[in-house]
Amino acid sequence: MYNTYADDIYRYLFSYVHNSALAEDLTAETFTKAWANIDNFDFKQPRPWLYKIAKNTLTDYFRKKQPLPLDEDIEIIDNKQSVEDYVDNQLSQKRIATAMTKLPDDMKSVVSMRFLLGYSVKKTASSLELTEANVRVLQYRALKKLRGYLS
Amino acid sequence: MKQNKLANELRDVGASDNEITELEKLAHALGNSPQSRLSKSSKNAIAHQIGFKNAFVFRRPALSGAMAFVLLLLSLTVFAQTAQPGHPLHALKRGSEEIRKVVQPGFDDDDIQKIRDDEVKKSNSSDDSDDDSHNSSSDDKGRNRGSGDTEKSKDDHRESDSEDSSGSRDRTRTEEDDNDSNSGSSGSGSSGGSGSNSGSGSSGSGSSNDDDKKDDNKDVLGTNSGSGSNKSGSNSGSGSNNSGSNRDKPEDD
Repeated sequence: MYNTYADDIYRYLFSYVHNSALAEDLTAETFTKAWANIDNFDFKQPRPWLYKIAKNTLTDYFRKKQPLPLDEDIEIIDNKQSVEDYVDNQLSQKRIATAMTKLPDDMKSVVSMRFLLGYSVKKTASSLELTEANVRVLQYRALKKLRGYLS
Repeated sequence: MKQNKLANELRDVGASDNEITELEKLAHALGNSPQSRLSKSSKNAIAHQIGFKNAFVFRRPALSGAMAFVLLLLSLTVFAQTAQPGHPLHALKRGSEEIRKVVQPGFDDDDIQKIRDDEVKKSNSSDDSDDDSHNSSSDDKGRNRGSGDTEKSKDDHRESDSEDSSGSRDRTRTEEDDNDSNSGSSGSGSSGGSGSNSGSGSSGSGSSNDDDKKDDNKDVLGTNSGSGSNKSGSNSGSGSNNSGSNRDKPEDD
């Protein structure tokens, strides 16, 4: 279970906190909670169960600590880009990350699963225990909001 | 393709074409944003932090090897339950009985003794059936059968005791027949006790006349009916009866 879902959970958490160290801590906390509640583990659908725990872990974290520190160690993979591009890229990424933090939780979850983790609508729906129609609507609203924040 | 899918999804929820173009660009930017991935070392570190030390220590080849070994051992143990003494798997059977004795509350030495008895009975019955098939062709086998009780007693004292008692019964019968017979047949009677009476039986019939031959048949039938369960005993008894009755019957007549 850990091997299969650790990376997805980490990326999901990272899309919220934008800090790799913090995301790792939260991933560890998520799996610790999952392990502690293994009796309630749904073997048929482990993903929604894990995402629910991850979400609760995030909620607990947000309740305790504000504001979120944005990650300083986001690395640009393409080393050939110019300084101008790099700065633009960094700025746009920071902006996107900041805009993401402003989204409501359900929209943030949908956006991170759909566009960061690359899940299909169906997979996102099953992970978040929503209908596919709900996911489509939330995705549309989230993108519109993000566009508003970034413009 | 993905863009088309997204466009269709957005169109389904009522987005206009202009909106769709813009939102697709935004979605593309989101997808291209650098994503932090969980490195293997971080994954290990988290696993240790959580306490899933086995998450990576629990090597799959080792696990599957261990599983295969356990399965093999289990299947061998099950197969060994039919093993007879002398079989290579019999030691495994005895080992499993010892484990059962510790694990299973109602299982004790008496049960193990019963299993041993069953094994001896099975081996005896299989030996007897083998011997029966060759009995008519070899007199030596009949002789061996008469003394076979002592050989089998190595495996099981109880079984040999019961056979010995039947052997002694035959011996008693032989002695009674010997008392009826003359001194010439007493030698055959004594050898009947050891189960090697086939020779004496033949000598008895060889020395008899036609009437004696008829009596032979009667006596053989009589000894067969009275021979009981122990074949070795009955053979020895019939041998002595031949010698005894060959002489007794004409006198009775």
